[in-house]
Amino acid sequence: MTTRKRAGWLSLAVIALLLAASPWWLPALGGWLVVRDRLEPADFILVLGGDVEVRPAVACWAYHQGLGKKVLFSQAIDRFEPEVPNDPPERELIPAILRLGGVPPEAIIPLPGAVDGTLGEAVRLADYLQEHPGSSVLVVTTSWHTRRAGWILRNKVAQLGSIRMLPAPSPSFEPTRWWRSPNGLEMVMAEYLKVLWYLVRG
Amino acid sequence: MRKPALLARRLSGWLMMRTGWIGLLGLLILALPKALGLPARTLASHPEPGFSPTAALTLGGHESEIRLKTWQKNYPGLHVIALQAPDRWTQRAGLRPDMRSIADYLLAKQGFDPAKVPRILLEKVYGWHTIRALGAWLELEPNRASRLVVVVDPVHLLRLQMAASRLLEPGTRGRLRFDTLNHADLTPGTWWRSRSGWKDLATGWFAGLYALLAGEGDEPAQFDPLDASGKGLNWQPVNEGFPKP
Repeated sequence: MTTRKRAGWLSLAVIALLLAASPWWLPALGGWLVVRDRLEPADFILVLGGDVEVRPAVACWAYHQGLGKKVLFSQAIDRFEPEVPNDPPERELIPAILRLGGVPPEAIIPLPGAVDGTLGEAVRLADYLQEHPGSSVLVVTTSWHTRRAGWILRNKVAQLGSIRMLPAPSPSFEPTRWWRSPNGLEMVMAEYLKVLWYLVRG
Repeated sequence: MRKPALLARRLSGWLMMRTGWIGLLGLLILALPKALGLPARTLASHPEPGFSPTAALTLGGHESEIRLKTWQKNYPGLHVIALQAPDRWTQRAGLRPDMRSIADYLLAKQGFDPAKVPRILLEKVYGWHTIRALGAWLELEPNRASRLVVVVDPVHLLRLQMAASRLLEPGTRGRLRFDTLNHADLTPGTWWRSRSGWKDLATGWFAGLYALLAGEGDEPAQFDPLDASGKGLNWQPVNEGFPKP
């Protein structure tokens, strides 16, 4: 058999193997992005910016489960102008949702300073923990974001406190079926690119 | 063969070979701009000159209202239609303005009278459902929307065309045309010069390829933490993998 034919058969074999094993590696790819730490009561619950329709509601649930005494939230910079003038920015909407969910106003604490991105949020949290060293923080973010966010936060917070991740559901991403929707596929590919970028650049 | 003739023959062969290559190179250089623009052209679509639309709507995109205004100006009897997405739970809870008021505001801002613009109400927000809703509306409005122009961002074109070809009856499909907006980073002459040009092209092709191979895919799930009264939150995790506290 010539080298070219051998390479052709080998390629076909690899593709067949990948297809046959897809019920295993496809969910594994999605599942690897999701980190669910053991849920224990923490000093703070932190709601990361973004996905404002989901994350604060999950933080409310966590608060009522006794998983945090206070709820911190990031004040994200609005990247887009609101569609209408009276549409509240995220930094106002998050506390409004928390209050609607029964979190007492005195338990809702904005992290000082505007942020843009997970790294900015990690820096703000580290600054806050300088004044509350040794605290434990339960971080609420969308499920596909938990792996990378956990790395970034733990890297910045380091010895200041402990971080645990609580994944919030994503309407467009289900770890065991993510490839069955274009949004899920795009999310996973984008997140792995960001993971790679983080691993390379730090 | 005599030496001079052989020399002439070899020389002419040499010249022909070089000329051939030079000619080919010249053709490539001349054709390159057109060839480079081809990928971006796959994400462009405009109604043919004789289409004469009776209705138009936009699925969003940069300055899409300007394109609607242009259609209205060129076809004075044109009916402008608007899509209205369902309210998110934060809107139903009164934390954000509802979709109706957002649509009214945007239409007025774009120079349309909201009271005169018919709305197609969507039950869900994703491309295939939008096409279904459009198809149903076209069936209901054979006269007002006998020929409908849909203004879209080029990134969504292939996916929407695929959805239209699979979901709509041929007669209904024939009454619909897509009109892509001028995407600054996605023009045939410039798309390869910027990162967003590459990204938008890849996104548009990927979405089209996905629609071709996998069809509609799964619908996005609904996340609705409102309690029965709609005034409070009562969300419980139902994912069996979710650890109990």
